[in-house]
Amino acid sequence: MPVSRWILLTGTVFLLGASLLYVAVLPYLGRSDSVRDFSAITGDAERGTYVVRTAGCIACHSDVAKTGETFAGGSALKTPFGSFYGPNITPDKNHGIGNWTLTQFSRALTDGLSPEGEHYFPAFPYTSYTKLTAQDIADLKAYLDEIEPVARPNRPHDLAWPFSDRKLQGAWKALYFVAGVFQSNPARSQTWNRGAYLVKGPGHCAECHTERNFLGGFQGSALAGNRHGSDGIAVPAIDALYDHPRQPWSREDLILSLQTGLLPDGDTFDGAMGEVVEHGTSHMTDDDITAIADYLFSGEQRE
Amino acid sequence: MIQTKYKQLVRIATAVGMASALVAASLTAFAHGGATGVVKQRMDAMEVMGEAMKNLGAMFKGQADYDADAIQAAAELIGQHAQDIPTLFPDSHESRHGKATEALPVIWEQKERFDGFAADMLRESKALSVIAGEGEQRAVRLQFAKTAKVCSACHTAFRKPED
Repeated sequence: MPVSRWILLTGTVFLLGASLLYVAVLPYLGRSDSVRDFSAITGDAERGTYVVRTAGCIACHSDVAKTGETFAGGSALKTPFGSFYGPNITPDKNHGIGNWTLTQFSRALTDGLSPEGEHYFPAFPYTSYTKLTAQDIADLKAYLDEIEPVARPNRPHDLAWPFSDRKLQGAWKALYFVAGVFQSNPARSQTWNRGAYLVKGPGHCAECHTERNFLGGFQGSALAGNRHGSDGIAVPAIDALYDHPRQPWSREDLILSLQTGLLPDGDTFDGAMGEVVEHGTSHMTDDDITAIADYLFSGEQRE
Repeated sequence: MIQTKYKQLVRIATAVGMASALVAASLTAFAHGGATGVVKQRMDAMEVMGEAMKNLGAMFKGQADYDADAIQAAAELIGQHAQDIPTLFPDSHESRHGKATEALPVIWEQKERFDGFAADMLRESKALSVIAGEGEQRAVRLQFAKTAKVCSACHTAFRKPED
């Protein structure tokens, strides 16, 4: 057979194979079930106002700069894959999550799946939120159920193909997502474990502070920094602040910076980390901030 | 001939002119990445405030001795500069586009909010001065935190993130 025929044959086989995989295998990939058991749990909206601070929901789900409305949908999160727009999570029944059950809400956080069974893009950090306890999830839902519903339609993400295809996220999850609640370390103190939970779960610090490969999966050591962060800004390492080459941090430095945004040199955080402090960590208790510092200064967070 | 001598003179004059310009430019380039005028003025003010905050922060982190008088002095200094902030960000070409400026254009889209932060800064630093005079360390730390949060909030909204 002439070469052109071989090429045609190989190409057709490849395309058929890929289509078969896409239709018959892909839909089953990356489908975890880590939904919590809520039978013995009652969500508390007041505790939820605190959980929302630890989980940093406001910054992505609100367009604070433009409209000042909270939770009605966010401004662009620019990544190498395109721009993501956080959806409306007010209880509006048409444009928000007013129709969601607690189980559906949990599935979004713990498994990255929508009520319709579609995958979420990991710009929504279910890779960290999967660690949330059942109580925290229930409290969060109780809080979100009580805020003002806002009828603001979601803005679709602005992504380039193939990153825009949600179905392909199944493959991404199979490679890079491990579902499951936070497991405390019995050899460590309660404070350390609380800090570990806050950093790895609701705080979702690794999402910005860890390097990613070209597919957006985590690469290298957790919390070791990301030179190519979102919005094109380099994100510093936080796994060994005490060893910082130019300016070693003390625990007190970190505690004050998370409470106020002030850096050891008298300057402040900018942009995204400034928002983390403004809407999140500055509202947290001294005990929780201390726990985070304990964890990050223990030298054992590369797990 | 006169024509050639005239051309030569012009050439020399141009060379001397360019050399002087280069020297002048390089001298100003020493400070703040080449900032001049109102951009440099405000960078200097920010640096003074940052230094004050750094020294205060050290006291609350156990890295320097607690000194109520020093806190009051620093708070007053910060307040003075806070008052200047609105006029240090005029809506002029130099202000918006001056060399090395880190001011985001959104400042002039939301000038009221921006000036509001400066007013907050003045108010909180004044309170810090008063509370430092009254004494209880925990209360002073809380007020210091409040003041620092204003710095952070304004930078988050209005300063270009550093890479």
